[in-house]
Amino acid sequence: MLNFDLVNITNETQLAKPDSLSFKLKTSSTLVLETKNLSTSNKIAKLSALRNFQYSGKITLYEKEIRSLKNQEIINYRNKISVAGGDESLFNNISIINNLVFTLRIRKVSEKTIKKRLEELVLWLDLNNIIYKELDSLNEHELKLLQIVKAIITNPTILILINPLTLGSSFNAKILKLMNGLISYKTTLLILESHNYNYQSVLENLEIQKLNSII
Amino acid sequence: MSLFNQHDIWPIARFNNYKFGILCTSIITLFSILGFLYLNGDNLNLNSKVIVAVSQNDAHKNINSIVNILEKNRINYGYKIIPEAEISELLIGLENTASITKYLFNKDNYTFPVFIEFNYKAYYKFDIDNIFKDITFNMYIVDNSLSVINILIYVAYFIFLILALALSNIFFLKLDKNYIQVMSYYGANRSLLMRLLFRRIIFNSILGFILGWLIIFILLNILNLTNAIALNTIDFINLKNNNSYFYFLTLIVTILYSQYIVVLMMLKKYMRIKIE
Repeated sequence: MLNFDLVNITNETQLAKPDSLSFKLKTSSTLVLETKNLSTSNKIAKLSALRNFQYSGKITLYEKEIRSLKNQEIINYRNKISVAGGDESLFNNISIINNLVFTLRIRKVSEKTIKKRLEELVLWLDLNNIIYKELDSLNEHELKLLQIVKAIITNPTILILINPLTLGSSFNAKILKLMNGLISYKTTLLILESHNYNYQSVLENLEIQKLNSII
Repeated sequence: MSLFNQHDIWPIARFNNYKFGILCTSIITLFSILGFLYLNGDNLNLNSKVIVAVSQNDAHKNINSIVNILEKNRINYGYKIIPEAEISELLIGLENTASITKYLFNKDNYTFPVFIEFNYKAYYKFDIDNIFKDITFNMYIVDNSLSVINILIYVAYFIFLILALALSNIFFLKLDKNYIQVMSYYGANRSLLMRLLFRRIIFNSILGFILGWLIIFILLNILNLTNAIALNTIDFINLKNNNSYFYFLTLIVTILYSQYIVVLMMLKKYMRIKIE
């Protein structure tokens, strides 16, 4: 589905000899990429979600080199890929609820369907205590959970999660419940982890790849 | 879901972003009206100036006696005795110059007349026809078509103002750049973004325009209480003149269109997919 083949994502010159990155994300699979830092995770996420095209090497999505995609194809693929975490946070000038359903509104989903989908998620993950809060009053863990909710509300084909779990977070259980639900619905998951969280013990049927050589 | 509100659902074109745009548009409106009045104010109405030529053939009808008559009738403003040096310039602007030419070129029969300029409002307010009923005089109306040079100067001035407005819009859109880009990543197309931003443009333009016009309206009407502001200027700002409808309509359409172009240009730039 998504292949990175000897990709260099750094902005360094060739003299710096940056290391290359290779991985294969198969359809309906879960891949955990252990990166060295959050910046690398963000770069990989942006390339995978077709928001950035600054790289050397070869990145293919559904067997097509992403640079050869036409504009409309890029827009269509962007609609199928969601990213949670990283440097794209929630909009701080609209309410949490409007943030969560923002993507659905862009895609002109009816307000009735939006409401129904949000209510299902709120009920399933017990979000009632969070969604009515002010955005500024949310803590880091609550914000992470909401970012994931925002990303999955559109039923993406590929979901990219950046450091979804953190040690000591009381919301880990909810996020794991969510991830297990997505895996059972055959959503392709790419988890970019820079905190060395041990996913082996909490998720089944996943592939873990260390990317220690990446800057 | 009591908080499931339908207002302010988009991160761009929000109400708290409006103030700056309204301020810019009202300043542009204010200055464009002021510039227009300054350059073309006297020429807005065909009947804006009345020139009275009083023959000095009769005894006691010289400049001093005419000024005495005017002051006796408490006409302290609203008239101007035109110096002899300016009379030839006056000829260009008057309707039916034949009789004046007759005055000027038949000096054997006529003493040089006194030319007095009244503004239209003052002429009828003080009933000059009646005041001068005992003396011989001719009345002329100035041909006040807008001069091409004045219009060109005004157009240049207006383009400058529109460019200033465009710059302020570019600056303001830069504040929304990240939001616009993120919205486009999530699938927002240009027409949706344009619709949202154009809502703000219309709001800014109309409110800013009304604000700018209102300031001038109040200012000129206050001035009109204490001083003689030309009737045509007051009529223009009070929307009693056909020219004003045309002018204000053109002004708002130009402001709207210029902003539309700027926003469209910036959106294209921000939404461009760069593949290096």
